[in-house]
Amino acid sequence: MECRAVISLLSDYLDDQEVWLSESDVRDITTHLGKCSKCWNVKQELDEIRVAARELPLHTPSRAVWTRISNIVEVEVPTSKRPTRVEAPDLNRWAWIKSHKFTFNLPQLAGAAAVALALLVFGVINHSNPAENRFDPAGATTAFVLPDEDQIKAELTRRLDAINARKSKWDPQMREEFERHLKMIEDSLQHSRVLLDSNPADKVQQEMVLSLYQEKRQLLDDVERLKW
Amino acid sequence: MVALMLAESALEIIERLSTAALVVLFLTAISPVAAGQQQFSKTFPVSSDQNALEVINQQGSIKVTAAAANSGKVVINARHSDGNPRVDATQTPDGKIKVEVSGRGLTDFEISVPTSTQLDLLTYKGMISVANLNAPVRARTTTEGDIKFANLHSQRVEGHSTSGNVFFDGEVLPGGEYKFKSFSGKLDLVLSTDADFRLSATSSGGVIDLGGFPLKFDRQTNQLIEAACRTGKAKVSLWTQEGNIHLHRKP
Amino acid sequence: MSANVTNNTVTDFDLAQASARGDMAAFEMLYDRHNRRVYSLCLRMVSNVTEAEDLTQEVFVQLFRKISSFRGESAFTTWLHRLTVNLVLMHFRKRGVRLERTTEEGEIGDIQDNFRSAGERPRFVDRIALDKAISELPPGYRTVFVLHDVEGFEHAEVADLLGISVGTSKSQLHKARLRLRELLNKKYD
Repeated sequence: MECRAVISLLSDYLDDQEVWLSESDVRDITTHLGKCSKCWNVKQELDEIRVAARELPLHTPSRAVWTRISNIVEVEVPTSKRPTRVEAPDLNRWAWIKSHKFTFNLPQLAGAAAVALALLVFGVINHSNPAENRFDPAGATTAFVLPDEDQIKAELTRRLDAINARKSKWDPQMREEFERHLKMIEDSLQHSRVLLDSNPADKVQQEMVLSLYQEKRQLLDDVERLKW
Repeated sequence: MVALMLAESALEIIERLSTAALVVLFLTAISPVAAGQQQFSKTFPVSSDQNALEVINQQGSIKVTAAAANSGKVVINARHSDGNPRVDATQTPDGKIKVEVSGRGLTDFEISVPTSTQLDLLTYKGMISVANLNAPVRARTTTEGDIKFANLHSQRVEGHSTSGNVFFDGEVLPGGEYKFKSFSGKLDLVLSTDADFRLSATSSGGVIDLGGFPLKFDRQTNQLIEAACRTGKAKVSLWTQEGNIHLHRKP
Repeated sequence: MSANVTNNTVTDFDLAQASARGDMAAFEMLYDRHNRRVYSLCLRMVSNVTEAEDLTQEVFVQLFRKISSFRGESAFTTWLHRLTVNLVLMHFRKRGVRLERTTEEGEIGDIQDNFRSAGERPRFVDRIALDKAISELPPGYRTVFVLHDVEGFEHAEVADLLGISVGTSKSQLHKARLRLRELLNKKYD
């Protein structure tokens, strides 16, 4: 079998060869792949694409999507169908609050007012605080900086500069591997940073960013340990 | 006539020499030392209770299997191909062994150790596998290369790759710490049905499958789980940026 | 339980039934479990974040409206999957996106000879690069590739969904894979 014919059948060969190909075709293709490095290479690469496709990461929509969905569907739930007692109030506190009538006595009201006042005062102090995570209502948000982040970035930059000065002497393939993996981590770090800037209070995102710095640091640790 | 006899003798000699040459060529071809492959082999005596092994490999696999508990030795075998790397293996007076590869090329290690040997393994690119160990182990593949832990009964296990997958099959012991990380690879853990551990699992881009373990959640979001299985005696930390996390219950 | 986290406790069927009774907490749990899968499928098919979010919203709104008709005959994920794909295809039709129609034979074209010996071959595919390459495929190839290779539909199902023959589905898948291979090879050259 010639290369052109083999390559045209490679997807059938990889997916369900018993279903799509005759026994003799399978035999011919297998024989050809054993002898032809070019076709074998194509087959390997198509197989890797197939396998990687099953393991692609999931992406997350913005929170606004759920807000819009719940706004639309809540209106459509007939009042008679809404349960009088919500089974899991911690999952949908707002709905629980909305569905309940609250009555307070005077001491309770006074306590609530004191808490509200304290929050208001705290909010004013925070607003006038020149801390870097202040939201600028004029529209330009200042970037949120994690504790020690500046030192971490400075340390990683210094170490990476030292590595870059030596990189030209490395084995080209190893250098390419290093650069590719470093880029993967840096792209992810940049993306996470943007997400964190848009929601600085997101503790999970804060931890993600710190983990990515750690990941980058580990890559540099290894290169130094390998004495390159 | 004489010339004919001489010619015949010469022909016979040539035939024999050719055959001999062919035999030598054949033996050379099947010899493991042929075609750029070289071997390295070294054995170190170690005490049965306190011993440690560090391996730093440039490119290639590291396979460590713990043999009998009191074997009293660490046996290091390595096969080089594709280049001319150099292996240095030394032992300090207190018994710690360090194996370091330098130079370009591929080196694949097969190492046998006592079950009580602490391991610290690093390869820039290549697979690491560790089996049957009872001692702490740390394994790292800098770029790609899967890490596989099988039948471990260790108090401390750490497996970290940038793009390789990490697989763990073993016990999580009370007070033990188990950390598995991969930037883009999968993390798969096989634990016994009655495993007792505290879990922290983070995946920014992948799925987290908790395998049906009875968990009490402290914290849960799309990307992060902190929970206790039973009384939370062991500590299990899993992190991947893009990969999937799967816990499996041992049947 | 969160979107991509499963632990085999409350089933999707239970949550669907509760949602049909108007239980918003149950519906939110369904959203938490499945929103990323739905969004990722939409995003990979349309290659546009805003459109993908709009489609995700539409999927879950339609899901809510139809949820009382889910009787558990198939897995919930399969049902939701089909709903998502149908909505994306309707979206394509509204936008006038033409999916390529090629014959079963078609032309494969010249295969790039990026021959590397096995010893030198770097790991070929990283997931970020593959995601980007998928977004660069023409819509028809992209749809078939996403449905078959990413989402796991069989060719018969893909053909049924797209109104094409099984042969065309197979041909487009193969061309998609070859085109992805070219795109990924360009990245590493």
